[in-house]
Amino acid sequence: MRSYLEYDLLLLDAPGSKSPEFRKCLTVANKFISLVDPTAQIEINTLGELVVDVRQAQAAINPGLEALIVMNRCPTHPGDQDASTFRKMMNDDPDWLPVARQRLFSRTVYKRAYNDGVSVHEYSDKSGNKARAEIELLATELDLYSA
Amino acid sequence: MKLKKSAGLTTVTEDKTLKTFVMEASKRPVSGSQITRVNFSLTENDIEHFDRLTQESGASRVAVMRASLDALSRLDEETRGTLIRQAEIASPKTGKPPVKR
Repeated sequence: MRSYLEYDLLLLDAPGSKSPEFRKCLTVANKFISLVDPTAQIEINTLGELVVDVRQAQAAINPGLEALIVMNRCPTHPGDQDASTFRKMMNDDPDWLPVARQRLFSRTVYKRAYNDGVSVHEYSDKSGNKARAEIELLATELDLYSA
Repeated sequence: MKLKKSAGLTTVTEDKTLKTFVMEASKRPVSGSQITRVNFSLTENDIEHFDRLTQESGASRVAVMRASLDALSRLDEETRGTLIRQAEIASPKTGKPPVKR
């Protein structure tokens, strides 16, 4: 078995609901990222409790934990304002977690890559792979390459 | 779009230990330990009576049951005893249904 020390980046995917697994991850992680669809009120409604868990972990156990919300499945329609509105509302109030500038859009390439069992980075898309660029910009913003 | 803060934000404390923080998420909801499931038999007439009362009030059967218990407890002991005896006498015998020979 390989040690986690051999890796630059270790990704823990925990259930976002109130669970022991989720809280344990919060106590050991350097960064916390939560993906939220800004057009789905039912997902936004879960953020209240999630923020409490993150703030509690930061206050008592893991003060170095960096927490960030990433907007996922955003509509590609240029007239859609949900993502911008969501980000402004969150970032204007320090009680909430900051929202990353880079967003991930709802793109067919994610489904096609998944169907082929590959990531969007490995998927060959003749029409230009915008999803790949979005992921790379997000990783840069989150400073994941320096890990 | 609405953002609703949790009341838990005001209870965030620097004193919480790792063990407490993790164990709190393992706790079962309080409501789960406040009730005990009870199983008892009713006649068709009882069920119809129940349904009439629940439809009339738009409440659940258990709410009607609690209201009935409350109403009984408000009666004087003699009246309450009489009503319960009458219900006992009117109750069908439980057990195996009679076989026609």
